[in-house]
Amino acid sequence: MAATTAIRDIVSDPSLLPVLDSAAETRDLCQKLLSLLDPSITPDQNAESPQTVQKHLFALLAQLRGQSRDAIFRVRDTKQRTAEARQEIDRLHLQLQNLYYEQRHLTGEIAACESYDHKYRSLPLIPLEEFLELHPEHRESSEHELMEARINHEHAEREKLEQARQELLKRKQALITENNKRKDDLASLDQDLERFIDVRLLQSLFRRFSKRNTSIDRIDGVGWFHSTTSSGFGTSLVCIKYALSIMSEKHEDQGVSQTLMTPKTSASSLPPPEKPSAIQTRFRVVAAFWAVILFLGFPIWWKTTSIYRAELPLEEMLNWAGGKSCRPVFPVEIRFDTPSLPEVEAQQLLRTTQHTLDDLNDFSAHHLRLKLADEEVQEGLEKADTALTVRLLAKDGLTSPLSELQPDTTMLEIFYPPSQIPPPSSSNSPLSSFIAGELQRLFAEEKATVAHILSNNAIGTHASSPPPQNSQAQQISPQLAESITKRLRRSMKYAETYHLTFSLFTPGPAPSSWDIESTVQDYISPVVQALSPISNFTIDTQVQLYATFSPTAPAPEYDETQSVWTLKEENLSAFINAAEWPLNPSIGTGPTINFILYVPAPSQSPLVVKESRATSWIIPQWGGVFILNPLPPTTQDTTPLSNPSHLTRDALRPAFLTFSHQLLSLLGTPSTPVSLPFRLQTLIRIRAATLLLSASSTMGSLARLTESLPSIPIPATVASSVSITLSHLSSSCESLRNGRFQDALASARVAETEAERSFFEKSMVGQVYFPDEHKVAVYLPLLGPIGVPLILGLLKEIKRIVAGWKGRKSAAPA
Amino acid sequence: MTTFFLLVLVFFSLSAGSLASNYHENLHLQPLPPSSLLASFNFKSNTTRASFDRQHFQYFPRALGQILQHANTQELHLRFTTGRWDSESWGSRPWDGAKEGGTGVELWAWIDAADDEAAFSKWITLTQSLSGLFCASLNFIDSTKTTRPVTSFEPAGDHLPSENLHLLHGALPGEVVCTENLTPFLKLLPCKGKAGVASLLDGHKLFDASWQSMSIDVRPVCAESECLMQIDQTVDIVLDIDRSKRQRDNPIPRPVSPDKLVCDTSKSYHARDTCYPREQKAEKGWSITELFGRSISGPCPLVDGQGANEETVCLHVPQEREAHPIPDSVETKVTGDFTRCFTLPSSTPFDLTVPEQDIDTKVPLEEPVLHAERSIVGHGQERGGMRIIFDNPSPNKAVDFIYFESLPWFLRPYIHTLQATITGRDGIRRQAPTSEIIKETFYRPGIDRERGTQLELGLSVPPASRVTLNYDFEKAILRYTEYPPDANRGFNVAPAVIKVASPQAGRPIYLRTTSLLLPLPTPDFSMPYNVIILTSTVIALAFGSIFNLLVRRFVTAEEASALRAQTLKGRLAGRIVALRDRIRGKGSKVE
Repeated sequence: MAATTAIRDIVSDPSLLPVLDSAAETRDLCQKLLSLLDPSITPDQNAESPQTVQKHLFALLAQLRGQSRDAIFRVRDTKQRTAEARQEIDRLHLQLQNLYYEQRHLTGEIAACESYDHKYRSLPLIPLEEFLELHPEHRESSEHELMEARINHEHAEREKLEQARQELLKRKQALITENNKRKDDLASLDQDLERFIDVRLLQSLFRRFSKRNTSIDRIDGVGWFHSTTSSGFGTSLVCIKYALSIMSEKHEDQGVSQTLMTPKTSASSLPPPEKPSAIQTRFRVVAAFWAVILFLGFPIWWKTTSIYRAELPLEEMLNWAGGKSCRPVFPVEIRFDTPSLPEVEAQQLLRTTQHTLDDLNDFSAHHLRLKLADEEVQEGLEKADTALTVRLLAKDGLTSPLSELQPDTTMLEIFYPPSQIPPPSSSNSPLSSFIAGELQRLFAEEKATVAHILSNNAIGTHASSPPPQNSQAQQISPQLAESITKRLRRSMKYAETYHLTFSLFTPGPAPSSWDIESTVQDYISPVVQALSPISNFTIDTQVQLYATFSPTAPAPEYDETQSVWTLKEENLSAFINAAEWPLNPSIGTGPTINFILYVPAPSQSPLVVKESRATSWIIPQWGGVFILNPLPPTTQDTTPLSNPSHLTRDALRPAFLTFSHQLLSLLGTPSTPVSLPFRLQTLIRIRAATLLLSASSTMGSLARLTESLPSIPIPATVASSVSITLSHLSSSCESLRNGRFQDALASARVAETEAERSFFEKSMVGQVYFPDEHKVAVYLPLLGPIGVPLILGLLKEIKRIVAGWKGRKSAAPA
Repeated sequence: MTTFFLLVLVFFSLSAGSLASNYHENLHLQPLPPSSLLASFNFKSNTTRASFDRQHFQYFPRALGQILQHANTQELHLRFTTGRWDSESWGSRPWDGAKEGGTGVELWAWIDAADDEAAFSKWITLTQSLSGLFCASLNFIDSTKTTRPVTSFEPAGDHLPSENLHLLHGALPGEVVCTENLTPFLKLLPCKGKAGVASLLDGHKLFDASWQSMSIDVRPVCAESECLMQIDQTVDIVLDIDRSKRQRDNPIPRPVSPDKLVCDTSKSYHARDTCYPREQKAEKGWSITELFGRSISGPCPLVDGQGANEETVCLHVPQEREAHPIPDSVETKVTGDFTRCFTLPSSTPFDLTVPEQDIDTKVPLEEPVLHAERSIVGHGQERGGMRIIFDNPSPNKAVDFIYFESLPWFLRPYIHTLQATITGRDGIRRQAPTSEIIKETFYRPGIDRERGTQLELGLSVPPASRVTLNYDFEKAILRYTEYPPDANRGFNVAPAVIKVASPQAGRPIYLRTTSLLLPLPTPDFSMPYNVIILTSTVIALAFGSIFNLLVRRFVTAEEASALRAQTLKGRLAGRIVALRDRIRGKGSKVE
């Protein structure tokens, strides 16, 4: 109960009181129910049953719930109203606040207006009393009007003053110009005065001297003379000083007048003229600096940065290159062996043949000289090489002469009917003209080649040679000329050593061995032996299996009609798979000539070139290729196609015969005539000519290089190489003239080697990488700041000296 | 493994007895723990001395033969190696280390020459030519990288007593071995890598290996009066089986998907997102095609004596291990040994499949006779130290060996600081007098910019102990132009070579340490220009002021302005001022 009263004290709202009542009732009922349910208490009989109590309780509970809901609704409603009232209050409060702000702002504005400081208050006006005295009509006006009037008055006054100032300025300008003019006048006056003083001084001195001289005549005393002369000088000096002081006074007067006229310029006055000793010192300083630069710095710089350039005989080198030093001639000596003829007749035959030959030949550089075999060699002269021996043999039963060139010697055998021996008197005979014709024919290709080489070279442009060249060129048939050009183009450049590499290539595993040693011994060694006077040769061989064509190369095509595989001619250049086939050049100096023996795979055999059905070709300046198609297997053979695993000598024979021919043509040997020794003789002459010309043109290139690149160094070794080259060139030329072609070739070889060495000297190349501009860029921070004062100082001194010199010059005539 | 390779060696020495031009090749495969495979390729061709001298090359490569003749080289050993042989888990080295080099490129040769200078010039010729042939920077082996070892190498060939042989040795530890070295290597083979076991050699797989070594040995072999030139080319690689089996088109390693992880489910913390890897009991399965990406395309038909005594592919596994070659191939088991060999059928490509298998027997790995480690210690730019650790695993035998190192000249060792420490298995360290360890010393001090230091020590390590050698060195300062472009990377120091005299094998065992990287004091490379410009500026300033002091005339400021007024410039300035004033005046009048 106490609790209930307590609650009642708290809850005073009348609307809540019924709730409290019903709550209290409910609680009573609950307690009653609890006591009914308590088993400890014996149930009262007349008491209500728990069910009815419970029902009653439920009803009360429902009632309580309803009341509670009502109460909550009421609370909600009250809250709503309270919130609305609150909002209203807030709004009003805000309005009030705004009003306060407005009020404060306005008060502030008013205060600002009241305290505004206008410009007119600070204007420096004349005092009010003065103004009023000046303008008494304003006495009556209000303060505002008075102020306006005062300001207007002030404005007018100021404008007036400004005008006055402008006029004064103009006057000042005029004065300045006048002043300047006066100054100039004074300066010229100064000069005049100086000159005047000089002249006067001299005159007076002269006068005094003449007076003294007269006195010397009268009074004979040196000491006195000396003193009086000195005193005379002294007085003259005093005189000068006096003049100067007058001058300076005048100057000062001018200055004073200037200061009076223009007070501004009064501060600046010219410094006293420099003492001659100072000028002297300055001159010495500048001269000393420049002396150090010119006589110490410059030589050191020159010495340390200069490059060594050995003296080269440039003129001579260019002469060689231009063909002025040597015109190569080829006097080919031919010996006549006439065992069956008496000497007189032989001589006669020789003479007539020589005549006929000379008539036929119109190429002066290459001519044939006939000699009898047993002719005595002149003492002291070396014997010229014999190019050909002509053996005359009488043979019965012939109507006309016959010639036969022996294939393994340089011997031309001529069979003639004995009746055709020319009588000693006749100048011409069929036999001699036949011999001449034969010789002409034998040497035709050589002559054409020599002419071609000479005309293609710088020597061909020599002024004296064109006419014979042209006639010669006309004489060569176009086919011959073309074949010569072709041969020269594909032949290797001359070298002292050639490496011959014979390679067996095959796309499969077989053949993997070959009888190479004996084959080389049989077919290549003799050729190499014969060529040994011209060059050295090394031979190496290799077997390369699984050598496939390069993937980009077009594959061979199958020709149905002839059942062969064909390669197109234009695709032959892609035949060599340079990327994968190990064909690296041999080590050591000298080029490598490659000979490739290709054995195609059984599935692609036989393989030929489509257009010509050929199986071999030359790759110009590189080597030769031979496709070796193994013999087709016999029909009984049922095993799958495969190449033989070993190539015998017989199988290799055609290939190596081809290779030996290819080698000869790669080295530039002419194709005719049949005799190999004869062709090699020709090769010696052609090589000598080529080397001579190439060494000469290298000399020319070196000379031009030396002239055009002044910054490359030329070491002494180059100079010595050049001198060796030149001496060997001349000895080679001399040997050619004497018909000693072996010696000529030997000298030309040395000349060529030395010429190449001098041209490709390593230390002549490296200089281009650090040009002078870079050095200047690095040292510019040093050279710039030092150079500018030095040069300016020098210029000033020169100007001073020139001015002084001019002044003296202009003074002298005056 | 030594016995295995010894067998091969013996076999070859027998086959070399026939003395004719011939060619052999074979491949040995051996699984290594934990999941690697050692593949050892060997190619050997012989040519008679006579045809070699006359330059008729059949099996011998012409390019190499000409180089050797040009450089008067009688015996040549060239090595290209990458990676490190993990002797802790892989055991002793293949071929007893005789066919491997230090990291990078190593070359040594016996050159026939009259004197040292001639030998050196021939050596330079040799290195230059080999450099071109193998696309390696061998031409950088100059006098500073060339040494003449005294006791570390012995000629392997039979040389005539009349020859005056000089041994020269050079190493390029910084050289990166890659495909461009393999291609010329393959070109030297008669079958060009297009047939035979060489057809497996592919740059992608070879240089993806954990360790690989390519070697070329050329030596004369003589019996009675006849001689052969023998070229022996070897490629040894240790392939990581898992990595090699990865697809070629998907080379990027990716995490294994969770359902493929092999986890130990018995662990208490095993869950969907945690995995404790289960130890792999089973041997990994592999096949040649999977590992090398291709199969062997038939035998090289040049190989001598096909069939009967030539088994080209050999596998080194226990007998129980399954191996399935293709059906055409003939298998021979060498009983009592772990070796099994197969012939290559000529018609079909050869493949060998070894399935995954649970197996208990393992091929016993041979314990290496010595472990060696070398490292640079110390700090700072001026000094450092070298520490070499030799560990003798044998419980009762001492190891005698030659330790050879060639140091670049800019590393200047102080040999007097050489100290040895012995640590027993009990872990007790003991300072030992060097004479107890070092039996003999050959020391050739370096000369700046001319030659490196050469140090050969005859050492003996007592059983079951570890010897640590220490010495100090000083780092030289290089000249400005001597620095390479990547100077801050450091400078390579060639690996040390250890030759262990092996009494039972007759041939010495070789070990090599890893190469070292020596950091040197490196300047700022724009320094010279900065110095030039700074000093130039200072000199110019000093000179300018002194020169002006000497040459200029000093006047007061008023006098100076008066002087200026006299000059043309001054007068012009005055005019301009006047003009301006007049314009101003006009302007103000208008106002």
